[in-house]
Amino acid sequence: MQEIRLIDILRKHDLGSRVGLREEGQRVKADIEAAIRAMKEKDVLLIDFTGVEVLSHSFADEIIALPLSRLVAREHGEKYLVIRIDKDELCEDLEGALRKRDLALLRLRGSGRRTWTVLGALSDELRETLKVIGDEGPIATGSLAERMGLKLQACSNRVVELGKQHLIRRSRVEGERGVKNENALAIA
Amino acid sequence: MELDASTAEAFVRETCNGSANTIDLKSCSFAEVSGLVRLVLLARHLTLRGRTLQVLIPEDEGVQSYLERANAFRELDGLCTFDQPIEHLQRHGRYPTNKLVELRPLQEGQIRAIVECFSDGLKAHRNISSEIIDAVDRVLFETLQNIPDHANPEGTIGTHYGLAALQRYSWRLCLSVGDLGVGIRQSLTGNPQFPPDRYDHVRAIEAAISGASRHADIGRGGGLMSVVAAVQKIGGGLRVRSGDSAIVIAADDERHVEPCMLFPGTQIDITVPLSGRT
Repeated sequence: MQEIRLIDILRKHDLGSRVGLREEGQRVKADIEAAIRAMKEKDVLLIDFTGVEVLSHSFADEIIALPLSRLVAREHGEKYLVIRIDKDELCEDLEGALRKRDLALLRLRGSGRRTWTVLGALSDELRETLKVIGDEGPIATGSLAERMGLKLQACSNRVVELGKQHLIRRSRVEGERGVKNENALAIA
Repeated sequence: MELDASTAEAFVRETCNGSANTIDLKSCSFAEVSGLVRLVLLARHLTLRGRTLQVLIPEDEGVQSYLERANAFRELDGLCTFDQPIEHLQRHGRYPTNKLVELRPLQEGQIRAIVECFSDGLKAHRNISSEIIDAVDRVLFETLQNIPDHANPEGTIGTHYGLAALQRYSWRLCLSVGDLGVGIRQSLTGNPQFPPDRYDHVRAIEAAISGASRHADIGRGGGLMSVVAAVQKIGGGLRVRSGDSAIVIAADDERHVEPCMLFPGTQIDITVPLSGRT
């Protein structure tokens, strides 16, 4: 996982810790997209918001929702984005910006990687599935279906959708008797 | 009389209908920033239409002094005549105060400076929580950047630049941001998704505060919606006026429409309750 501190980028652009203008966000976005481009395939970029005090809807849209929409559209290949925000108030406008673009994102709190929540637009069913995947670690779709009491096809659909949203990584692994199984793994 | 958003609307009606050329503030005993912003925008508008306007200044010396400190005379200078000299009012001096952030004209590239100025004014008060200060910053970022982006989308209106002012009272905070641009309806209906025959001023304001925008990009247009949410979260209410209507939105999301005189631009007046005197 690659990690960048948003406050460092803001300082580089002389913006301080209270940000809100879309025009300023466009300058910051260029740095974030450069970091995404520099990442290896299947890697995860963690953007740490520590030190940021105010974030407007327009700024959040520019620096997070727009780059995430390009990731989800696979413009950067298979790469992932998560954020670390401890201050709940910062999430208010970010949540709105993500919902407006029908996107969802994992939000980490504190230094732990396992304490995440989902920001943005994601159905309750997908949130529940994502939580189980996060709790279980790499899990085959069949096992996930069993664990959640779902039919295999229904479970597989959920895994595919979470993969499309770039909230999990999917991989093919060889199971018993050479049968290819699909594994789902939370990205954080 | 008190100069606030509703009394200022009466001046708009009287002058824009073509009959009156005088704004009588003689009996004004109190002035709010919402009224001051509207008054200056009205004077700018009438000047652009070639009208001559006279302002009768308040008899109350306290109000005179307040208008001077609020930069009202400076902003009105050249747009109207006064019934008596105002130069002597400058002797009232501009003692540093963090209760009032006087009328600030929005100039190109100055949005961040205005937000920081307002923010610094609020941070000086111990009874204003960081939650309120942060919310006001977000509101200012969104409303002020809407002016060049939406009030003047083609960059053709020379006088679109807006005004903002803030006043802190013991129990409430008042913030007002206004402009003389194309207004919400004309901006919104630039997007074919919102045709003018289906979007009158009320529907256009409703759509804008619900996330609609002139931009085709579905992710754009959440700014005004986020302003409403931020103000309501800190228990405040707002009035969004554009065209011939205003929508008043309470903290509990109760909404009502107020018909107004057709007037260019947009004005957003925000009131936030404070916990008490310090």
